[in-house]
Amino acid sequence: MQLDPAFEEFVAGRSVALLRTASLLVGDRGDAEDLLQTALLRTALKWRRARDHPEAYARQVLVNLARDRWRRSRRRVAEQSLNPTLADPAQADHSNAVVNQLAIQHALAVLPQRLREVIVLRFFDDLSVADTALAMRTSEGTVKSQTSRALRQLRQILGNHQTDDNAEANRVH
Amino acid sequence: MFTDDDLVREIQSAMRRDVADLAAPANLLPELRKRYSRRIVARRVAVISVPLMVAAAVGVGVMVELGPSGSTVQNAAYVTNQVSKAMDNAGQSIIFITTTETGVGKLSTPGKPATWNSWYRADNTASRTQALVDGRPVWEESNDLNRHTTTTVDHRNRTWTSGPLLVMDGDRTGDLLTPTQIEQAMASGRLSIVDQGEPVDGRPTIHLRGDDLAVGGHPMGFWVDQSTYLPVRAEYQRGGAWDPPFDLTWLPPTPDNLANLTVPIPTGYTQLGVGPK
Repeated sequence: MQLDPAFEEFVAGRSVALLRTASLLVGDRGDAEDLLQTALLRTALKWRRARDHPEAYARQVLVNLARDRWRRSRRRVAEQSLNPTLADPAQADHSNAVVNQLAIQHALAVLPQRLREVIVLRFFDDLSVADTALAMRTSEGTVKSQTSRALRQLRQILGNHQTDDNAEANRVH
Repeated sequence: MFTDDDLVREIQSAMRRDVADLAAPANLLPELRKRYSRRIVARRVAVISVPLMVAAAVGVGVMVELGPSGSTVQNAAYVTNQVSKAMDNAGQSIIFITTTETGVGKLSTPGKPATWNSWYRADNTASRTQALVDGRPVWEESNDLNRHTTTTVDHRNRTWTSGPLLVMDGDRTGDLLTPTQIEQAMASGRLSIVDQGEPVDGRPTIHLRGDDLAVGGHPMGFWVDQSTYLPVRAEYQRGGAWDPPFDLTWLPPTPDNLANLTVPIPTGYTQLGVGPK
């Protein structure tokens, strides 16, 4: 009833990276820890299948868990930010930044789940289109089109915030 | 005007800054070890009782494979039918499993083995596990699906906790075989009679094995008593090798046996505020 030593080695080496991916996928650190633990447990339980590509397997489980979480909470998501610690970037100081950290966090948080997944997997995990498709269980063509759509939406969200800032600035001055 | 490349660079940078301070929880591995052990214990009855009940319910045929020794093996459809009848009468029974942990284990140390006793309700709605060292209980846990609670008693420090159900992480379908999966496994002929099994407690058995039957997609096997058709021994394959089999004892649902499903909390023990996690 003991964990395979190779699995423990995998956890020691890759759990931080997977936790960071989980955090970006769900926008909440506490939830990310829960997701990571569940994903690793499922990887351990299916170690015979996963041992050749454990990180890809665990990442795929993480993406699924994040989707499940999103499905369960989407009513709430419509009403509030995924990450309550995120302030509305419109209230932040944008005077010297065209695109800033807070605005991007906010933009990612309001992206639809699949688009957020593609952004996190492609640009944070630096996965290829093929590996992203594997993690999301979709086709490479879908990954490409969703990447394009995600960037377009991010640009739009960030642009809106920029417009809001400019309007606010004009009113003040 | 930002190009897509500029935007991607900004997004990458923002994401990396956002999570740069994240580190894995210190208790990640110990917690995984604990949950993994519990899953394995829980899985044993899940894959023993549920498949057989489903087999009984669907009454699907299994492939007939004559034993390598050419011994007489009963007709597969007959075996399935008999198991079905046996399980019809055993749904409320309690399954008792005892195993011994040796070496450096969760509770055993070299030269001082730990005995793990588990009682499971056959319908998998309740279970209790008790660990003993030197014949004395050191740790116990019971799970009640109906109340959705897990109660743990730690005799080493005279404490107990009660909290949300642990066994399946609140997601019992996550890694458990579903009846449909079992039905498909049987219908596809992946469960077959291996041979006449070795006697268990002096009684003749039939040895069955199936691929991808256990939770996690592992092969599993069991021996059914040739007179009662209850599974009396089970085995799992992991990493390409079969683990040592373990025996199952079927107990009637008498008040005394049902009481074994719940951990008694000794007088004077302190309840810890937070349930087990």
